[in-house]
Amino acid sequence: MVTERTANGVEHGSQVRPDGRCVRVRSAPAIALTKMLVIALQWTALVMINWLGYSAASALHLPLPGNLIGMLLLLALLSTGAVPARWFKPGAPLLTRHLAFFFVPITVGLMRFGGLFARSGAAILVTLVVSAAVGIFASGFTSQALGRQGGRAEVTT
Amino acid sequence: MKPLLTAFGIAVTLAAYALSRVVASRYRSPLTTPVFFSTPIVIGALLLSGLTVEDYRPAKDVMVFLLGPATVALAIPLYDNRRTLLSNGIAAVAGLITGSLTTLVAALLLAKLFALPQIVRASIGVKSVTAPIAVELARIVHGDATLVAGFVIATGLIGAMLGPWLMDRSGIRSPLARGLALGTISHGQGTAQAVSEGELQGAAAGIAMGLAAVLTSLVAPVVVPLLL
Repeated sequence: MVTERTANGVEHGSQVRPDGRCVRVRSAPAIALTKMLVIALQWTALVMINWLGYSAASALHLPLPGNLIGMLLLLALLSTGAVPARWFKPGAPLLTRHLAFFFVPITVGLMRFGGLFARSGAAILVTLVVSAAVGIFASGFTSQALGRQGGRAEVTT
Repeated sequence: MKPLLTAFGIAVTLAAYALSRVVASRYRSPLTTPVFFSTPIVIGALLLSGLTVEDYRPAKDVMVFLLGPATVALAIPLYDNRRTLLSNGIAAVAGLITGSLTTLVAALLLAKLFALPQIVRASIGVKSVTAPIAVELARIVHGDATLVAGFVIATGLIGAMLGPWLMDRSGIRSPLARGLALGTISHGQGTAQAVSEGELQGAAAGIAMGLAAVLTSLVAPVVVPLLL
């Protein structure tokens, strides 16, 4: 990018492309600002869908998490083609990539349960390990047995 | 004093999270996952400064504001991976249902066998659901959101560490089945593990994570009270 008028007369803030055409280029802060604005808009849309999910759950007395209903709502919008997925990029992937962040403040609350873990920690751990192991086995075994070609799922298109 | 406390809580949490990302980029392991690595740091910082969970609550409330929208955003990878599911429909759905139900019932029965406290038994059934949905389910099944979050993270860790070994031993080699099992039981952490095994495994795990959350949300409010 050329930032000042050069000898061959390229205008300030413009760039000479390989084909010789002269293109106006926005400054770096302007690009960053636009990107932030786009992300803010995408997050606002997600906040609204989430709110719709919670409203639907309470209005219809559904025993389902509101954020789950919001997720299904967005999935329906995408599947019907009402809304293209690219409208939510890069704002949505930015949130899901850092999803783990939100659970740091939540699990900090475990410090209240020190006594519980001192008393029943071992039993809790056994419960978690055994139930995870049987679940993984049941799930993997079933889908392998029912999968095509004797359980050898091929990558199809 | 309040705003200062809130700012301190947020700063400590952000710093601990950022540190975990740096460490994880160098040493990739279930033990360097953000929550497992960062939470003890934040707890340590609070204890050292003589603060309690109550002092930390305002900071937490600010930070979790975007959790709901982030959950909604999970629809996008689900949509992007729909082909994997559609081309393996029956096997995938059957594996998903058996896996979700087996782990739910096994956890509830074991917790009962060990005579764990009521709040633990109510919370432990939904531990295979992805955390943002599990903490909401906690309210519906009369569990404790914080305990649920802890169990979810622990289950993610256990499945990601134990799952590949267990499936190697028991002859589960189909990439679809492996990804599906990891995503169904160990949600996000299992999906990360599956992604490292391959693309099909990763896609299957991502879908399984989303659908297992839907399925368990439908089933748990009915099954958990029965087995308490």
